Amino acid sequence: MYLPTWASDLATRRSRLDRTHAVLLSHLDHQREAVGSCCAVALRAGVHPGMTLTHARALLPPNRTHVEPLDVEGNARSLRRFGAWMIRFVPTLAVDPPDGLWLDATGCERLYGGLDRLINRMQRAVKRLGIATGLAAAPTWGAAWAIARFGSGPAVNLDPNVLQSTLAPLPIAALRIDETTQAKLHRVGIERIRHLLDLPRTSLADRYGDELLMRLDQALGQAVESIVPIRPRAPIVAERLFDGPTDQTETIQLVARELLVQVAALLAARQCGCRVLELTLLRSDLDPLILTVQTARPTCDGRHLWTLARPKVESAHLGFGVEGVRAQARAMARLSHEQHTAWEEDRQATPTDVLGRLVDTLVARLGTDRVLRIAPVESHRPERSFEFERVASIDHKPRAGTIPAPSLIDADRPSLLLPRPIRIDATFLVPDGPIARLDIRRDSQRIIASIGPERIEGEWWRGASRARDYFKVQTESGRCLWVYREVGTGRDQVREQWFMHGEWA
Amino acid sequence: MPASETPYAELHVTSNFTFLTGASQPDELAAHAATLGHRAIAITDRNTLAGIVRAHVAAKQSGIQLIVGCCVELCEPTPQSVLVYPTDRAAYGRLCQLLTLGKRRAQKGECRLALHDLIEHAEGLLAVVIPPKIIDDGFIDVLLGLNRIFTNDRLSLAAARTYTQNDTQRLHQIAAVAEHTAVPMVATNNVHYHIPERRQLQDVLTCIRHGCTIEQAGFRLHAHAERHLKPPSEMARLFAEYPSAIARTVEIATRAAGFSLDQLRYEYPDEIVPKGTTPMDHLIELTWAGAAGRYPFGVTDNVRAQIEHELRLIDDLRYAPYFLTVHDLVRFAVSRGILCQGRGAAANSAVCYCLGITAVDPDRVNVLFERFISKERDEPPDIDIDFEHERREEVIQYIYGKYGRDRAALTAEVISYRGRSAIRDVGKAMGLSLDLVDQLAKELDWWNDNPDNVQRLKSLGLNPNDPHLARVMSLARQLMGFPRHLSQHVGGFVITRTPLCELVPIENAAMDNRTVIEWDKDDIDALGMLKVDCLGLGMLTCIRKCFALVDQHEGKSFTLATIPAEDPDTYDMICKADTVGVFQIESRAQMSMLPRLRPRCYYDLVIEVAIVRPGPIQGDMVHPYLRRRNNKEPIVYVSPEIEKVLGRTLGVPLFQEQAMSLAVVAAGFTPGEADQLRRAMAAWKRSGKEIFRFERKLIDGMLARGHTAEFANQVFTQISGFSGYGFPESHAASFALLVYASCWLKRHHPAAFAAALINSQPMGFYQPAQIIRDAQEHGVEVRPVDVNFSAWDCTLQPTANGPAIRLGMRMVGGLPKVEAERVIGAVAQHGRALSVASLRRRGAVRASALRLLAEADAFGSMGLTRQRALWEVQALKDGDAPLFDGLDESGVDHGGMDNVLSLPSIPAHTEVSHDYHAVGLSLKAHPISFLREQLAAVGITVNAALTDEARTPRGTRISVAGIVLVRQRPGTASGIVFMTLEDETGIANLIVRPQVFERFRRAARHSRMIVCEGTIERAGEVVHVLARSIRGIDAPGAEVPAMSRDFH
Repeated sequence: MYLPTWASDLATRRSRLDRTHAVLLSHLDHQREAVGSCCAVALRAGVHPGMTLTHARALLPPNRTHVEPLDVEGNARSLRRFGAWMIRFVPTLAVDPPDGLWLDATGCERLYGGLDRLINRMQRAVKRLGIATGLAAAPTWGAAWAIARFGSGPAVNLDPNVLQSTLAPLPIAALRIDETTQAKLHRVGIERIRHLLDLPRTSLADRYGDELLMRLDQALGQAVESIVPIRPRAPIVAERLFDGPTDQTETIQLVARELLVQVAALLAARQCGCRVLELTLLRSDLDPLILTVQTARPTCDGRHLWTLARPKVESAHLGFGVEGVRAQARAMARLSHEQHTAWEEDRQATPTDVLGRLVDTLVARLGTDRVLRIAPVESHRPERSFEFERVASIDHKPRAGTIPAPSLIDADRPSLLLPRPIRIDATFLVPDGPIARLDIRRDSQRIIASIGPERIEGEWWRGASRARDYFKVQTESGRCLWVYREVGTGRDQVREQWFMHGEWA
Repeated sequence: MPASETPYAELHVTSNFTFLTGASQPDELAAHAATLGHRAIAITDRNTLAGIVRAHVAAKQSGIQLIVGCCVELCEPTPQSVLVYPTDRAAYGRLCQLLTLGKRRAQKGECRLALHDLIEHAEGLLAVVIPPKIIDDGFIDVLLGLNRIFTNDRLSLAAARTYTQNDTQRLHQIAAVAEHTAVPMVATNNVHYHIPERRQLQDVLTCIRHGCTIEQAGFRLHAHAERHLKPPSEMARLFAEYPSAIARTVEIATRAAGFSLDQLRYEYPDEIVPKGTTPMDHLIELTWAGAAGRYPFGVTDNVRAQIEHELRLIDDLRYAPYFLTVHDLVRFAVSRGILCQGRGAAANSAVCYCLGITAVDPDRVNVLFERFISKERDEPPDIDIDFEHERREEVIQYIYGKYGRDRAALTAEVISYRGRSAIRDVGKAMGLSLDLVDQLAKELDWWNDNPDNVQRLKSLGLNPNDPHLARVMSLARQLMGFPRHLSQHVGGFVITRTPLCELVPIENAAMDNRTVIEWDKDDIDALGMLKVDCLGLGMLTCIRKCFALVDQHEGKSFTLATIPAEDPDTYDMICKADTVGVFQIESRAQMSMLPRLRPRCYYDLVIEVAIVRPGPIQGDMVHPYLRRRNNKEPIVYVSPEIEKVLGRTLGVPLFQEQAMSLAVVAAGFTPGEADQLRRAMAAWKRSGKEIFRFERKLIDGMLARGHTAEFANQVFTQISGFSGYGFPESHAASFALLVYASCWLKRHHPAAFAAALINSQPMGFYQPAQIIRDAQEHGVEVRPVDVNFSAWDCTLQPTANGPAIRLGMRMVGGLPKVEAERVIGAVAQHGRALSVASLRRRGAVRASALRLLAEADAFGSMGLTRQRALWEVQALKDGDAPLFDGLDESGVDHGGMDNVLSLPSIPAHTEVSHDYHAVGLSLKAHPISFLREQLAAVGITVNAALTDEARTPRGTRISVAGIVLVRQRPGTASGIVFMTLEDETGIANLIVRPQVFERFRRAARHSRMIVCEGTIERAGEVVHVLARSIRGIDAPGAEVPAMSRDFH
């Protein structure tokens, strides 16, 4: 099975584009953005992989063109998953990255009433997924590969005897040989397999190596070739059905807990930890209720999983009763290996473990959007110098290119930053002198000391904003406040406005 | 307090010559400081004096004192910045030496200096130490150490407001350190730009420097816009508690006033004069000796008077050493058989003719020496010398050898941001995608704010009103003209009597064995230093090679001076525009001018060279000149003085010199002012506006002298048309000589000329394919590359009908010369090779080289087609040591010569396409000829039909096809693109209007073979096709590589 536009088909599916959109997948080639892969629409417009993105864009209508970077690894992963999905048609298959699958249909045609019908069914099914295919059946892997890509018909059922005459008119690229060899063959005018068949084998081997002959033989069935089939792994799942519907929470909890321990054991055997776990309650009169638990670090600790799942089970709506419970690990990650000690009690949880559990517990209780942490941002502007981010995982590496914010190391910054600066009034005894008095919300404070100004200009690339002069001031009552005055750019002395922005606690 | 009452001088100023850091030009800084009322301003770029001359010129104009300075970055023992200012000429020399030392030991563009280096060169320098962020004991030790060296109160400690929270504490701390170490504190503002509005640009520069976007830049940016020049009163306010720090600035400025760049006196080298004689005596002696050689039948009275007059002038101005220096280079080149030719202001003098610097006989051009050297303009005369481009390096190494690296160096060339580079760097820094940046750079016309840009932005799917995009565009426009890095000038040498490194810092060039000073030619000019331009010119190489071929095959030897002058056959050829490959008049525009101008003498060629230039075209001088020349318009002169100036060119100013004289004669400019006008014209591209300063003065001057307003405006238009593109008569005269020489050779020795032209590639306008085709049309037989007959260069082979050209192996794409020489050597030693394998064995030739030769179809003499030869070569492996190959007599040649092979047959058009790929041309057939049947079927005419006026009269609708040879969009043609198509019968010249070009952009811009449908336009013998539609016909299997010269 040849997937001519695999990468762009995936992009179309992912972005839910309609079929008239041109899809370009870019990659960086010698410091310039080039087309790595593109869809059929773009191909028809004259785009071909390898041309610069700018050139390709010029050939396509700007508002109906979708561009995204080419993700080679992601596409290969998707190809594996797609392969696993295709197991519904044939039992043995292998991936042929970047854009093909090998399907071993030996013996399957009887189940479908003929090879043609099998191919038809596969084609229809894949087409519904929005993926373009070229399918061919042949007695050898090499011939099937060649015909799927370069043959004329959609599918051919071949007799080994006519194999040679079918392959002869195909271009030499159909032999899966590297581009250098192809180019060398083209140089002497050899364009098609037919031309190769006319030449002495020894001369060919001298010039182009054994690979060429091997590929030729493999296609013609004169040499063996094997594939490495993919084998889907069994899902990690544990299930228990009751004798009849039950609404006894204790029973359900007991069973659920036991299932989680079983899942944990299965995970441990595979040296995996669970990132997303689904606990399904099969309710007698309602749809199955799926409770999802996420963890910040992969874990195979059944107790911990239960801690997270328990509040959900407790508050679950059971209807007339539950007939069974199923636990399944939906997303997994590899666990780092840890040295076990002889006595279990000696093992101490690492700080990350503990933090991970705390985060998991908080997330389980409060929801994913409510557990946040502060990340520093490089910006002179105080309100932009940090941001809140969701705690999806605590293992992730620090973002590349960031350096610790000096607000943490260098400049003196208040411990409390107001979410929004408050308008205040300032009084001076002499012009251009120190601040004498601040009026904050009708509360007048005498100022006994002030440090500043620290001038911070706006981030002009985000739009116009005014410069600020910050002062650290101490009030008579001992409070340390962070106040600023807005300064007009271009030194125009407009009426000054004062704000309070934070406080040292 | 009013500004004038607070004397202050800014001492720490980073201009944009600290590349990608400072955000203002040195002249902007100097001019703005003057406006603000600063007592003086220093320019202290990091480890460089590159911007100092510009600042010096600007400071003089605005009447402010410039303090020459430099920020020396020490990297040992601890990183430390020290500002230094020389107080006298000797100290300035030491500063230059110090910088040279640091630069010569580092890579290009870098400088490595240690504390002890500074200490060794400290005499006479004032220093200001910049305290580091954290002031610790180590710094205080350094400070105390420097204080012992910079005695006599020459050291200060800089203090600047940083506008951070602890400013006050920091100033206190610095003051305390100053007190403790007894080093006085001095106020600065660490200026990076002249006005606060430049902050955005400075932020962008920071991003470009760090290679990040503005969003990522974070703390690498300044927090505020305070690094601009501030009024003295504001500085006094900021340092109100430390008035002595403000006073110290003025004190330093006063002491630094002991040195100014005006004190630099240029001195000529003296070894060009033999001991015991003066330069002038020596020059007189050489001149008369040369005159005897030039005029074997005796010097006429006229010439004698001219020479004597020139010598007197040279003596008055003491330029003898300059002429001797140039003469010395020419003498060296002649002794090595390197062809050279002087050009430029002073080159076309009788003295230069006698000295052999030029071959232009002053009798043939009406030279007025004063036009080139004037007493009023006290600056060195300008002579550029062109050498053969392949051998210029020998001359350069001769200069280094003769004067030493410490006294001779190349001048720098300041590479500045231009439209495209500016939008690229700004766009990237502002976070636009590479793709979009590319599009913007390509599509937009960055030279001016033309409204077209808005349209183009829309066509790119962008919103021209988007504030982010608008910001990108405005920042890119600000960045244009900023220096980006220093490069070396192509051949401008500065030679001095004393060590050069005491005059200006010298750094390593990117090229090995080259050293470059930090100043460019304008700087050198401004300081009145001697510069000799040694340029490379491909045509000289070609002419020398052609002379050699003619000598070898026909036994006639020529030099530039002995080519028969004013040959009517040659002018006939020129009038027919049959000038492919010759010098200068080979371009499309020149060729369409030739039949109209019809040059019949040497001076006509001088005009021809100068007239097809943007200057005369924009100034609308071409048509009046042509009308007058063809007696269709009367020639009238407003006054006899003007007739004297413009008489040679029928009353139309065509040369830069005429524009200047016109300003003097008609508008009463002094020669000095006229020279300023010339500079303004030259600086047009850089500043753009300067020329308009002279508009009022010129027009008023002319009105005052009784000229009409109409005439005055016309003259100004003509003069401003020269801006940047004006062509001096002196250069045109030298060029015209080479034009004539190359035309004469082409006319009388077409085979030798074509061979020499190809052997001098790359050069000129045409590809080898067109040169060969042109030679064939002139009846020259051309033979293909062949391993048994070809040399590296193209050679001549005698035949019954004159010499034939045998293409050389240099035509074979990618073939290294050493490999070709092995082949040639093997054939020379063992005789003709009969098989690929034997050639490989005899010559130890690499298989990869044989493969390239096979691709070039160079085994014809062995009876092998390209396909068979490649098949043979593919059996050879490069890894095999040829030694063992020789032992294995049976060879690896299984598919040997006598095997019957059934390789598929290759169509003829593919063969031709392969020829083009491997050799750049095909002798078999023209690629278009394979399409001819199809083309004829749809009514496409052959190009040859265009020459037949009866068949294709003006206005006929016609379709033509061909390979695109040239695409040109002259700046003067308002977007019109000129294309040249070639088919098997000839060429067709297309005119493509912008709308048509845009509509058929894909084919018009990228296709290699096109069909064009349009209407015929005729003007005399000049035929154009005005395009209406363009279609690409790049046929699969018959691709030709891109051969057109696009938009140069």
